[in-house]
Amino acid sequence: MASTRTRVAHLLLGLWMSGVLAAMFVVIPQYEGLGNTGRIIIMHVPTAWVSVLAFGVSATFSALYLWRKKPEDDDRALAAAECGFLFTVLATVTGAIFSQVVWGIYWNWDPRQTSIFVLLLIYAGLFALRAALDNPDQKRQLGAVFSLFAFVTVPFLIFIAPRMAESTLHPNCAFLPGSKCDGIELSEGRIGLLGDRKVQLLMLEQQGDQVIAQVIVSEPGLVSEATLAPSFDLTQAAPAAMPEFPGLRYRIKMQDVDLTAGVVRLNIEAPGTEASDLRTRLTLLASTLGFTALFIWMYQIRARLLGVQWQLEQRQGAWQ
Amino acid sequence: MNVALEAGVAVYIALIVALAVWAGVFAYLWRLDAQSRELQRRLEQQPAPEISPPVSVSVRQQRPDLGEPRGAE
Repeated sequence: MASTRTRVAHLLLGLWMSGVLAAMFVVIPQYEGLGNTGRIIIMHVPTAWVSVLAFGVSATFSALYLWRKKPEDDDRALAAAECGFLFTVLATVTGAIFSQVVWGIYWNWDPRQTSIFVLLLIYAGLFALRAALDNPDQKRQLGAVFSLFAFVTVPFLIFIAPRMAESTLHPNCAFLPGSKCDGIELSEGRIGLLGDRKVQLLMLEQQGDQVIAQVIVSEPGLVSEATLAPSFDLTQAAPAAMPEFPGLRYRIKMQDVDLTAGVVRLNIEAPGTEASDLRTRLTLLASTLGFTALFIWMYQIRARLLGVQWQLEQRQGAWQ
Repeated sequence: MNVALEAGVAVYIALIVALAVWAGVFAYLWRLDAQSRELQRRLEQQPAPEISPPVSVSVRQQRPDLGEPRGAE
């Protein structure tokens, strides 16, 4: 039987996550421009972080298995990989819901969405490989090697690839303090990509202290296009008018202008810039801690079940 | 308009649904945890079956009229 301390810890986790849910819905304020939809960040970000943690744990136990050849290490590696896969699916689903509200579409092959999809495929490959092999030693050995190689891709697919691509609508600059979207520099007549929107700078015009740009914005697939007129206040050296992208809650802003060279820097202004509210940050932290504890619990149960399954198979083999 | 869809009410309904889902997940994990521990405890208490050595078979063919057995191993 589980020790009393473990049971109390699990009960506390249940209460903790209930508190996180309550805080998510009724304590933290709404995000400016996003309304109640912005609250999903309290689920989305921690599940994504926990998936990275889980894949890291899986790779660690895979390395330990290759070193020590203990079946328990392989059970732990597999359990962590399965939990990581589950949390990645949760992060993807919550992200897709957010995407539907903010971008108007569940899935638009944004670099962030594509990279997480590739990550899911890689770990699905691990499970398929293990399922295809009958020899337990071979299954464990190859699974451990695959898991190590799979983890090498995790930092690239989760942290590097989406930041290398300028054409992402994933709101790094909106929610993560310290990160920023650089935007794109365009001169008159030039075309660029801002988010998944094609933008073309038609002309620049100075009217008093303001510089106004005429920008054609095209939807993906060139379904429709609109002309927007973001402006820049020269006296305050700050963006002035920031019209919304058609059908989105993101705005286009003129971040900087060089009139002599005829070049402007256009960028996305996401609603609810920075989760600066203390309650939101504390809830996000509490959610991350809660999901981490939940992962540890789930992973322990699954590893135990895999161990029991292995013991039963051993005994069945001995009896036959 | 449906009262449940009003912004002030809908957020509480969403909270109740989320809490109900979490309660279900928690109860499932709690039960699975207890059952897996019990299963492990039982397995540890039961002695593992001894693996018997491979069975060897000897065949002796004997004809009464020949006296000495043939093919004895």
